[in-house]
Amino acid sequence: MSVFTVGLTLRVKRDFKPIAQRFGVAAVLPVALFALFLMLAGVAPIDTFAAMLQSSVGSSYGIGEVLVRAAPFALTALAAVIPARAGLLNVGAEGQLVCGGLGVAAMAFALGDVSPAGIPLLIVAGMAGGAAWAGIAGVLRTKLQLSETISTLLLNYIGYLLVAHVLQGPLKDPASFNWPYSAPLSDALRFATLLGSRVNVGMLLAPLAAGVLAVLLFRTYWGLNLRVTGGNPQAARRAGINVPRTYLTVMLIAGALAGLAGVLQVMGVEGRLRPTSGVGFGYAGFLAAWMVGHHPIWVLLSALLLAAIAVSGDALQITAGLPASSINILTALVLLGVLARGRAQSRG
Amino acid sequence: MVVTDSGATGGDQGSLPVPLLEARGVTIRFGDLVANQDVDFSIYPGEIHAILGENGAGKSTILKSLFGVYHPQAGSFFKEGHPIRIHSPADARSLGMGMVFQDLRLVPAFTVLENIALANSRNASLDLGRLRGRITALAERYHLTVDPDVPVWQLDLAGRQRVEIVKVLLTGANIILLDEPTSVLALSEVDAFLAMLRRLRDEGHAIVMVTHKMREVLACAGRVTVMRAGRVVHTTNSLEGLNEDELVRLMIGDWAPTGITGRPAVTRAGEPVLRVDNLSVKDDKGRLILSEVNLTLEAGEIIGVAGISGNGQRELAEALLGLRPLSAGRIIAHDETLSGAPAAAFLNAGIASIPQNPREEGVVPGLTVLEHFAYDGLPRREHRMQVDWAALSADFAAAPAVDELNVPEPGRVAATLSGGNVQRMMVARALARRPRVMVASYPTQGLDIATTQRLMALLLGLRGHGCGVLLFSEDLSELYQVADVLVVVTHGRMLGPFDPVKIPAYDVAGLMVAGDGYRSNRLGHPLEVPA
Ligand SMILES: Nc1ncnc2c1ncn2[C@@H]1O[C@H](COP(=O)(O)OP(=O)(O)OP(=O)(O)O)[C@@H](O)[C@H]1O
Ligand SMILES: [Mg+2]
Repeated sequence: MSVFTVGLTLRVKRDFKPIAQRFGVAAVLPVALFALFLMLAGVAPIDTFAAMLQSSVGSSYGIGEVLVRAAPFALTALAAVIPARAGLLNVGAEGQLVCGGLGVAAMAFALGDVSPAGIPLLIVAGMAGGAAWAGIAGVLRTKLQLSETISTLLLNYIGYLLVAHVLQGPLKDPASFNWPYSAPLSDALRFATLLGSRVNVGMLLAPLAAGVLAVLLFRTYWGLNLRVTGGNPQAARRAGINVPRTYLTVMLIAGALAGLAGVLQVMGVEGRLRPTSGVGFGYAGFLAAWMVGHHPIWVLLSALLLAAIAVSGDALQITAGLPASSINILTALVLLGVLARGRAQSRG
Repeated sequence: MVVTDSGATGGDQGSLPVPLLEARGVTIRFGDLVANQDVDFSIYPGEIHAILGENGAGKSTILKSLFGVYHPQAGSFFKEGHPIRIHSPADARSLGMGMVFQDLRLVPAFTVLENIALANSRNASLDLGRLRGRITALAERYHLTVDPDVPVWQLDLAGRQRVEIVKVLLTGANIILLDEPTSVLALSEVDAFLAMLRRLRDEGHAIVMVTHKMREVLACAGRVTVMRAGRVVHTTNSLEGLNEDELVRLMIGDWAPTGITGRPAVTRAGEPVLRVDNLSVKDDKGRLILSEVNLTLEAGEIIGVAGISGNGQRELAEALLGLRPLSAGRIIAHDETLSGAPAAAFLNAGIASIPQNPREEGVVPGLTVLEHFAYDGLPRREHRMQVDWAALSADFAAAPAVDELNVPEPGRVAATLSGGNVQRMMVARALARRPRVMVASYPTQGLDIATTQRLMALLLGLRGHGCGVLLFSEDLSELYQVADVLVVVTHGRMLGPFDPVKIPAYDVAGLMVAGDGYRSNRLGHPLEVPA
């Protein structure tokens, strides 16, 4: 017993300190550099920062928007975390997310108008869509030794095209004239929202998934074997662990998680599938996962941070007249800060 | 001034000249653990200085700090009397040092040539063709089999050791730090290696060598430093009049060679626990490395597999564990055909193993010792679908081999253990499986003398319990100590079985080197014994 508790507290301490330090540097330096950028672009940095803060965490609406964005970020982050723990690099949450959205739209189309009882079916369909997409990369890796990094990346583009194609064809809503949108979900099939905001119950799936995965990863034999596979595949093979099966499993789980992010976007936020639904969320999640060293619980934090940055991007456009995408500079700076800090530490 | 190994040491220590390299008062801590405590150490040109000590005594740590890998919390370094700072291995190299690490540092995806080129990359103009020539020349001169164009991942441990040695020699270092450089080399290679060291010494190089083999110390060392629990407990300026037992006594205090006094009797069931029929395996290059192997391992029997490493030992061991496909043949354990089945089936059939390259094949970065036992070794313990760590720690503490081999505490991170302690962990968890068949590859590598003896006793204990043991070793004396039957892998074949009582060691050594040719030319007596 004592060994276990000691081990556990050690782990938490060991994990927490570097992560806290990472965040420290990741916050200060990038903000300073971004201020420099703003000055060069001819806008007052202090005012702009104030507006950004106001728009993201300065109001209940802003906070709600941050949460709405953070939930899918956390899920796509988890879609990177689980494979990373097994030694795989899943860059494909983008494609898996849109395929998840596609699964929801397709299932809704197939079911027609049904009662709220259809909600679980839609969720499962979304997860299955993402899992199938990731599964392709998993099979390519296990059967053909094809790098999952490359295949998941390429599958992102195919995923976008697939969705665009289907939204022009079979799933196109005839009522939306020329827009390539799927038909809106009936209200009965959408997640209940909080007081007219976009905050919805489906978002609870993100912390729930994080908790379940943390338990699986750190407390079960399944998770132990997965981490062994990631840490030393040779040792895993010697211990009788089926390495290819582990690879396939983690890819399917990752795909299901990213698919779930698509579910949130379609059933919670947008109410229908558009070619733009959730685009960019997969990469954001990948960053969020890296920032916290692939820890399934801490990704909730990094997802919140990236979501706040993303949401405050709108303020840039409104108050400073800069394109909203300039916020990507800040995101990139934060990532660089985190990575630089991580490197400095690993060199000791 | 050059000091010959026993020269200038006639009387007191004070008469020694200025050392080429010196460490004074070095203290290195890792968290609460003190790996080196106030260590003084010096090397003179033209000497071979051996460092002895039990596993975890701090030998590798002091070498690594000389080489700039670790940064001491206290202490200072001097070169020819002048204080120096060694921040990194690059610094150390520019000071003329070269090091062969205990856990070898080669890039597996690169060829031998590329690895050696990497170490020489400071020389701006690098002529690969010339380098290849130098490698072959050097390898030939010192009798080391090194093929410059093989990717390192295809080499076994001994092959990599040879590459490391060549690499260090080619950098032109005049201070050479060797951390257990011969742990898996065969005797003939070791002798060539020692001859090489003596030659380098005579050319004026300063050589530091960590080793657990007293024979090597006596064969070449001029001075000996003994470490215990992080401290230097002895520095001997002359080996004159010291024999093996006295060296060991310096190392571990009261040494009563527990020895293997007669083998425990075995109630030989005679029942075969593992049968190999006409087996052929390929190496990583896809070349047939062993073929037509036939072997029957009985309960309560130890078969010693002799041979110069690289003759298919690794491939055979992997095949017997389901880790490498067979080109032909069958593997049968207890009437169950295993060949073709996944590795898990081999484990379930009671086949356990000690890997050839423990760090590479067994250690998972970041995981503790207990976690290593949990994923491989101890039976599953679950409580409400979660790993029952409390039960596992109890099982760990109760495992006889853990106690017998003094495995480090369960909470230590395995990757930070000393080489010998990693090996203790690997052995103990293989034994914790209570195997019916044990495939042990170089099980005593890196172990200190006392632990080596305990391990041999444990293997005999396994045999006493009716386990069949296949013991791969480069060390003939070890094989003769415990094996009931000897086989020799050489030149693509497995020769034998031989009765160790009847075949003299020099004949086995001859077979190892020359293969079947030796048998027909040199052996005047029948070798085969009825299986
Ligand atoms: N990087 C590290 N982090 C934590 N502990 C370490 C580290 N390196 C070494 N140690 C510890 O320091 C002690 C001395 O280790 P060292 O490797 O010097 O032993 P050694 O004398 O070389 O033993 P062996 O004969 O087994 O190779 C050991 O207890 C080891 O676990
Ligand atoms: Mg060592």
